[in-house]
Amino acid sequence: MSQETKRPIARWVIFLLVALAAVIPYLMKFELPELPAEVVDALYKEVEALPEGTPVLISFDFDPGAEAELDPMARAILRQCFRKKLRVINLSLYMPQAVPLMQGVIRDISKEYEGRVTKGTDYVVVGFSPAAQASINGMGEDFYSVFPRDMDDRPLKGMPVMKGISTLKDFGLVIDLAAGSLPDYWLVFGQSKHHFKMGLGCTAVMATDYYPYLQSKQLVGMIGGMSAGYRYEKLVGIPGPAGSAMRSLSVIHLLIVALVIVGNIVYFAQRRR
Amino acid sequence: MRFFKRTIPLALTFVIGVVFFLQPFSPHPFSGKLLELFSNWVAIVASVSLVLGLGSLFLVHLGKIRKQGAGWGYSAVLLSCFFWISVAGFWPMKVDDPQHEGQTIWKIGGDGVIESHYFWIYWNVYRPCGATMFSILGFFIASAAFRAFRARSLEATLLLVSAVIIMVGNIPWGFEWGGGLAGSLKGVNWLPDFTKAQTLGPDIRDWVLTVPNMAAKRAILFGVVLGGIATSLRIIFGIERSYLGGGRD
Amino acid sequence: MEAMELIGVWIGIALTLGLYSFLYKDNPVFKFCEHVFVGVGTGYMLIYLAIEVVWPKLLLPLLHLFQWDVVPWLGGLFGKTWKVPSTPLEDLETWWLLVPTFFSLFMLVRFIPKVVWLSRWSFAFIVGYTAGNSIYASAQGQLFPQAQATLEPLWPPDAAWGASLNAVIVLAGVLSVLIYFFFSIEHKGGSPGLARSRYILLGVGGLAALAAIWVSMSHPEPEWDRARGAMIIVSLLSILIGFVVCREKHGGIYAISRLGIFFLMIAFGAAFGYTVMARESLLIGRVMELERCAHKPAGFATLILLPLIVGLIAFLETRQPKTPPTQA
Repeated sequence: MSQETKRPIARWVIFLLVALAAVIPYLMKFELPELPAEVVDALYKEVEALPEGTPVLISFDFDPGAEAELDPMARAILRQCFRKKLRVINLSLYMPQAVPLMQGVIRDISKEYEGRVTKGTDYVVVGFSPAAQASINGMGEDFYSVFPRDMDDRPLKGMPVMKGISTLKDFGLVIDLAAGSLPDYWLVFGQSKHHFKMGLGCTAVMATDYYPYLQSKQLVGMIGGMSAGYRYEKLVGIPGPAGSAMRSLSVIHLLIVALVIVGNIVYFAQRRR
Repeated sequence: MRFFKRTIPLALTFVIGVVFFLQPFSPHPFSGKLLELFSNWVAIVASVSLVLGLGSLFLVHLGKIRKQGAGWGYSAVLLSCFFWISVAGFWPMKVDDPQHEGQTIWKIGGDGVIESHYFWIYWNVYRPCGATMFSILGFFIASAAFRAFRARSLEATLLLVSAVIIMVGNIPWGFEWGGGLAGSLKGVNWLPDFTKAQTLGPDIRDWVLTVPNMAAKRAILFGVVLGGIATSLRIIFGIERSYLGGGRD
Repeated sequence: MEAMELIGVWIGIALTLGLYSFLYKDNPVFKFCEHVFVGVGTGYMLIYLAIEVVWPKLLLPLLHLFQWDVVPWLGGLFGKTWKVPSTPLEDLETWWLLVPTFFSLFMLVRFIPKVVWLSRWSFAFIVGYTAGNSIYASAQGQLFPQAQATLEPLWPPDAAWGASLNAVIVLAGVLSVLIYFFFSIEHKGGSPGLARSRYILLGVGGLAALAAIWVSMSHPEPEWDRARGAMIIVSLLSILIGFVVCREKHGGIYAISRLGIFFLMIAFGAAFGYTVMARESLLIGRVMELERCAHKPAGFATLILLPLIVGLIAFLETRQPKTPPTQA
């Protein structure tokens, strides 16, 4: 490698500051104030309002590249669903890399509620289907044509958790936990055709794109990014990874704002010279 | 030969495109059944196309090793890891039968066996790499914010101010400051009363997200949807043919 | 921690630190980790799709259909049970699987240059379905609900005037950005007759769109779905044909376009702010993992591997041939 591809000194200072801003607050363990977000509260209230036994579909559409943001909200939502004794059907339409993450979250949270929730009666993991547009269309006509069996290869039809479900219309709520463009497919081919209630958990990169759907009430609520995941954890009342991460995230945000301000001060000072 | 290479694919696109364009308008149960049938077929063919794409990657790196081109050693690493996880995926193991308690069955690792070496490789190799790849950008975005975010013009200043409002508003302390600022403005009679607004939230961050940001994103959405519909129509009528790819007419 | 688990943790941390070496510069350690990632990811996806999608949804039903007795043994090994047809109809559905079978085979012959054109049939099949299915769905699911949501809050009976002001700002933002997208580029060519018919088409399209929105608001019952759908199609086609060419830039449109740019800059700033949160969240996730593996249960993996990786990169750096200085 030639000398000129090495990073300049100023960039090293910034990298070091970012690393320190990530590590030190995480180790310090101080308390943070509340961070209200009405779009997050709306989704929480929607789940709280569901009667016991309502079927809820959760689509795990994220890979390890978005796990840090979406895993905390997935755990919080699942805890709330199990506490409320809702029937949770879990699947993935994004890519095969999402499946072990889905199984990991469900395994951990179902262990916390061992004795209170049963696989096959309170929750089921139905697996992965490719081609989201085709899969959602298929589920909209007949759910079992896309997912005839669960991941343990047991037939879904006749399972207590699937009672009364034949198409997407029969779900009380569909929550998409997404890192890619899956919410667009769910909204266009699912929600608008079959008029089910839909909530969204997404990475922060995508969050600003879905405010139009919140205002048009196509989405009942949204958890966008880690700060929203932190809010959801607070609402559910069980501390999770987002709470620990928010300390570092808050300091890093302030650091970047400071860098922007300092950079502009330097720029205008140089221009004046 | 042109009939098979060009006419048939274009006709197939046209016929299937028109059928599924008209499908939502048909109340007959057959149209729903047709959608269900085709949806399952497309999912299967799409999986095979993914397999094709992955296979192409495999062949590219195999070619690099054969020709001993620049960086062929890395291609050898890639293919070794590919074979490592493939062998693990097909490795048979005896596991508890989930459908019959107390019994065991033979399964291959890739068939949902969490304890298999296949998933061990996923959790300990793929997952750390996947998570780390995107996290590197965390450093570069800070560096870019320092070097490139300049209030050179009115537009750039608007972008900068909006970004700062969002970044500060997304942290608990920032929400307190922003809420306090919006709250202090409530007493001024000629400003809109944010707390009674149909848009969500009293603070400045929420106003930026639910009013100007939403307006622009909605307009972008209109543009994208209209463009997508125009492209779909062009594809169906055979004006746009780039999706056909491969071979000569 | 079990031995295999500990080895796995160490491999994960080594790969993490190796990938972070990119912060120094592109180097052999980073390239090695990158290729490991791609190799493992490719293999994982290929195996998963083959075992969990192609085998149970396509091959197993077809093999059962052709009654190949050797397969029960294989089927048991793969853990997937037979789908035994119980009615003649189900058997018919299984025969229909020959359609995706042939299209899948045509896709795979892409590697054979003489018959690569067969893959066009497979792409035509997928693209025709996707294109046809998405036209009405995106109009119904995105275009019209969003247009309705833009206009609806302008005249709510019971909201504060602050809400109406926000709704007017949203409408102004949407229109100004759309004008910026469609009308701010200078048009070369065209005729007055073409311009006149363009305005007529846009007018017809706009009226049909307003009619569809009025029907949605006043008659939301399913019986009105087909009428609403017909109005949507008429307005779509008119607007699309009318938007074929763009108007010339002139004073009034330019000012509105500038307003559109301001709204876009606010949106992009908001997007940047959220992108910062996204990327930093991922970084903090890895920091948490590295911190967790710096303790005894993980064998102090982070603390031991960090200097090792740094030392390896320094060693490889000394082995790199130095580029000679260029002559003036």
